[in-house]
Amino acid sequence: MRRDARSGQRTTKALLRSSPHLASWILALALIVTWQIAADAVPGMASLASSPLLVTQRLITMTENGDLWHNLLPTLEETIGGLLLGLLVGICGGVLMARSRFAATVLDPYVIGINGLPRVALGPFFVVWFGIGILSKVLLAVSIVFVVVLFNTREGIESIDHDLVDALRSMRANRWQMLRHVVVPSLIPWLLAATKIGIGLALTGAVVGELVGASSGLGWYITNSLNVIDMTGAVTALFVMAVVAMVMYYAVLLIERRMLAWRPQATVHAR
Amino acid sequence: MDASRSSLVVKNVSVRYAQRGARQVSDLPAVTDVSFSVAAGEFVAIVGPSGCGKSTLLKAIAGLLPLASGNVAFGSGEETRVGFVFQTDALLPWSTASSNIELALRLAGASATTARTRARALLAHVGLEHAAELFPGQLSGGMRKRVAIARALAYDPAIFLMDESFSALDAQTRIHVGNFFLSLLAESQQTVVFVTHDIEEAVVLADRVLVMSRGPGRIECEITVPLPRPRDYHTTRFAAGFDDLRRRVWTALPALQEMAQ
Ligand SMILES: Nc1ncnc2c1ncn2[C@@H]1O[C@H](COP(=O)(O)OP(=O)(O)O)[C@@H](O)[C@H]1O
Ligand SMILES: [Mg+2]
Repeated sequence: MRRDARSGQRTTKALLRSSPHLASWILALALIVTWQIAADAVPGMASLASSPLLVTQRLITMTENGDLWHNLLPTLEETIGGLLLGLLVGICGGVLMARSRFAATVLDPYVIGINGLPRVALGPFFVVWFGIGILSKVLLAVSIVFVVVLFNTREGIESIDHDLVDALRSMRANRWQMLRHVVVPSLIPWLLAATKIGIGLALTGAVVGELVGASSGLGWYITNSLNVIDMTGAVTALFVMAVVAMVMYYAVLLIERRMLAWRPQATVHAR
Repeated sequence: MDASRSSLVVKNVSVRYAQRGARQVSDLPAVTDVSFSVAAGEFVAIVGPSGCGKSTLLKAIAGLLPLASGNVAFGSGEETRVGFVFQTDALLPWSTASSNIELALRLAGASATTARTRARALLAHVGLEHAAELFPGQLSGGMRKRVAIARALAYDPAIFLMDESFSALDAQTRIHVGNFFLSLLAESQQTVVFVTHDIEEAVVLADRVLVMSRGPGRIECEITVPLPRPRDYHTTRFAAGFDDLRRRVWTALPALQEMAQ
């Protein structure tokens, strides 16, 4: 009997070990159930932290009356716009600073200064300067994202294998061929790593901008809900943000699997 | 084939590196006043202690580093194609074995389709047709080295410049790849300048061994290797006269001379 129980335990353990994804789903389920039970059992809990059932109901009504899409779309646009523009600015800056010692010396203090600055504090400024529309949020996201991209680009360029450069130079490759066959492929892992961190950063920029001043968006929806003490609304928006971040992250992971297929294992961790 | 072999004349070549210190930029000589020549189809090995400037010299010959003084002339003119084989295999890790070779062919002016078929033929030639679609990270050290040699062959060079090309390989693989390289040379009779710190390897492969001094390097002396060709990497090491040649190179090296002093 004991032996049976033990071997049962062992197979459950083995199953979870062999499928960490399953374990991850089970954990999610456990958290949701705990949350629901707490909301039901503790008086006043649901009005402070809502509950899975309330959030689900809200998601359904928001989908039906169009509120979800109306607020999700601007946040998505700001996040993706901020991410892409941040990549562009970061890559250009990184290339410039890696190629020109002069530019690096001149710009280094500024980059370091901006990097140390808590850029969410720029949110109110950006809203005043660029309005309550999408632009101020995109620019806030860019200001946060580009520094990571810039650092990674510089580091990536500096770590290009010099033998590969010499190999192609010895075969008389021109600048364009060098770029296409050595520089860009060398940078891709660094940029993918920066993109993965950048997703969360861009979302932060977008939402902080919306918290400060906006007329739609998930951040705005949170402020709006809290103003009328609608916890379920705020928590629902938070949940949607988490889903956005995860979906974007896994999309990048998928791209990475394809682009880094040449690597023994296609996982790149940020510095 | 004969037309594509080039001689090489290196005359009073010096190379300096700009050394970026904490405060100033200074200039350090890495190679000073090196002169030697290589006949078309000849195999010359250059040995010397580590850090004496062998890699620097080879890169300068290939035009990858500027000369501080002197000049380098190839017998077949300015446009001479150089096949550089590095100590690391220097294959693009994101390109398959076949694509790596195709790139060399494309850079030498071949069309995409020609490059593809030629690459396959070259891979077959080095015994790796089955590895065509594998990435360098999926190949063993010896296989990568053979792909690197195939890539250098693909570029159809008039002269091979090889920098410790086999030293990253284990002893057995080195014999295997070295033998393979010798048999390729027996067919094509290419001109080769082969840099190494391995004296045995130098004597096995070369027609002539140049010995460099400690850095900044100069050519100290040269030793002719009259062993018959075609050679076999393995058996040549036990041929009559081999030990004597090896000893002569050893005694010419600065390390031993310093110890004797
Ligand atoms: N890129 C470089 N910049 C500055 N100094 C270098 C560089 N490469 C090599 N050197 C110096 O030049 C000398 C010769 O180096 P190298 O040619 O690599 O020697 P070897 O190949 O014989 O071991 C060494 O003192 C080395 O430190
Ligand atoms: Mg070297």
